[in-house]
Amino acid sequence: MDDDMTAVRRLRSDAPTPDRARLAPSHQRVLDGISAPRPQWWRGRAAAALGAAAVTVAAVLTAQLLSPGGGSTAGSADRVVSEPRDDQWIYRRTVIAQTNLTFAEGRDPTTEKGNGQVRTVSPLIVYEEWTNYSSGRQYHKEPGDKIRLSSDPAMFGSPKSLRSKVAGLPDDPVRLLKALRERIPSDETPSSGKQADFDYAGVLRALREVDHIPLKAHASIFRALQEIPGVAISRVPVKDLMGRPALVVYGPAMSEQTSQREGVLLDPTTFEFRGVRTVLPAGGSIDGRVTSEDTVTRSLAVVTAVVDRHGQVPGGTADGKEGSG
Amino acid sequence: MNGPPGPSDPLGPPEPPDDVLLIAESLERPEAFGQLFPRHAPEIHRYATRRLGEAAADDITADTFLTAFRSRRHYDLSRPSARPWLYGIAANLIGRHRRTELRGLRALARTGCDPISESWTERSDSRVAAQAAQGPLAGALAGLSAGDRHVLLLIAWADLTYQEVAEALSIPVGTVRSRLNRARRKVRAALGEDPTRAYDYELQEAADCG
Repeated sequence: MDDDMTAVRRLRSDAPTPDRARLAPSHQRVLDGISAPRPQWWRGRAAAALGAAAVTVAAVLTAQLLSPGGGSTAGSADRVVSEPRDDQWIYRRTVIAQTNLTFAEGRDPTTEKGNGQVRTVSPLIVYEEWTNYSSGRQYHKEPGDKIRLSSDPAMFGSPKSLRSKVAGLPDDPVRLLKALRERIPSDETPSSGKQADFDYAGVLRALREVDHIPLKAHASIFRALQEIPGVAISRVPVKDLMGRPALVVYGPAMSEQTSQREGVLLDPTTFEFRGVRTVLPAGGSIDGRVTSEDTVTRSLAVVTAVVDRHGQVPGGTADGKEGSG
Repeated sequence: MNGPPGPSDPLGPPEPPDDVLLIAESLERPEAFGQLFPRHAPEIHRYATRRLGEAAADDITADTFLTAFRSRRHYDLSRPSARPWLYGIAANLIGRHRRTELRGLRALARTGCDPISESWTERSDSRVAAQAAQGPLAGALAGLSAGDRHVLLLIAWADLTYQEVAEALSIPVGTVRSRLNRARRKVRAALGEDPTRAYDYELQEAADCG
């Protein structure tokens, strides 16, 4: 009577139950996330896409340093960012590139080409998302898929509610950091228990999650970021995946990491969140070879814009700046 | 799966706490959540492996527990076992790899070779022959809607009950029944059976719950 179910149950029934060694890297990721949550550099869906990308994308990205002199200025902080209408949508495009090299502890690095040569990545993984400004209703589009309504709501609330939370932040760094902790709370608790780690996580949450933030508030947040002990900000901008100049910010815990360094990318003039990248510093080992230059092994770029309906892509390019000004 | 605590035996080992107690405790003490991983990760990983292959299962498993950790405040504390909840999260994550899954099923249907199971087995002539016989079934699974496929495979591969599937996917039990009915009709048709044959849901559900 149940031949059909029996047939389904037999399909791939020899799939192995993983042993502890197989689960160890996943287990460690979970324990890290629970007890020592590093900042969530990108949103959940983009991270899921990145996981898939690791299998399919074979590339190592070069650390493309710009010539010195592109330092940050706060002059543009006086610009006014007009507030979107309630019926408008925040469009966010996340572009991801990742090498297929494996650097996880306990695994041997592997690569299809067997070298650490630097080249432009292809193909890129593109993830798109539309969030209604007032309701937080969200649609998303994964590579090769159609646009779908997201079943889970935005983690920290609608863009409108988030904007209101950061718009009135105090300028004083100490008071600002305290206000951020109260206004955009998180259940993530840095295991170090250090105030600097809490503060850094709070600042990144605001920069990463609030898509349409007043530029004056951005400048205040950036000033507070500079005041957090242990935070390092590159004096020389780099280029992100989209070719845009970006400052690289390293958090207080980054000095404890010996292999790869993860940095947050910010616009040098507006301090808007631009993405994340991971760098294997010169002298590291890729596939048994010592590298002579910094190598970007993972890169993620974010562009945002305000559009009138979900599914609308501004300009048909990755330049979504019309929503930022 | 965790059930209610059994009779207390002062000489026996202490009963492990229900999942719900760990989740509740983790609201104050986050590290308590980590105890859920060894309980449920092996079967979540195996389920994801059957659907997407071993490499993807590594990420799906970690992301399932990380997503669960972040959303644990919304957990329904009336449910002792987190198993359906975790499977629901995993199903959602697996759904994001829909094209990969369909590609594997269609390849199996078309060529008799299963690129998914190749992630854990060595290819052999006998295996290829056995897989070829599963082609029509794979084709039928690929032809299901994502929702119908989730229901069918959560029941057939994860051994969830109707009620647990309903909890996992946040859908009514009646919808679970109708989706399963539709999926089984298509599978039976693909296997050359009578797709219109009546099926006694109540008996099946009684068996599931028994």
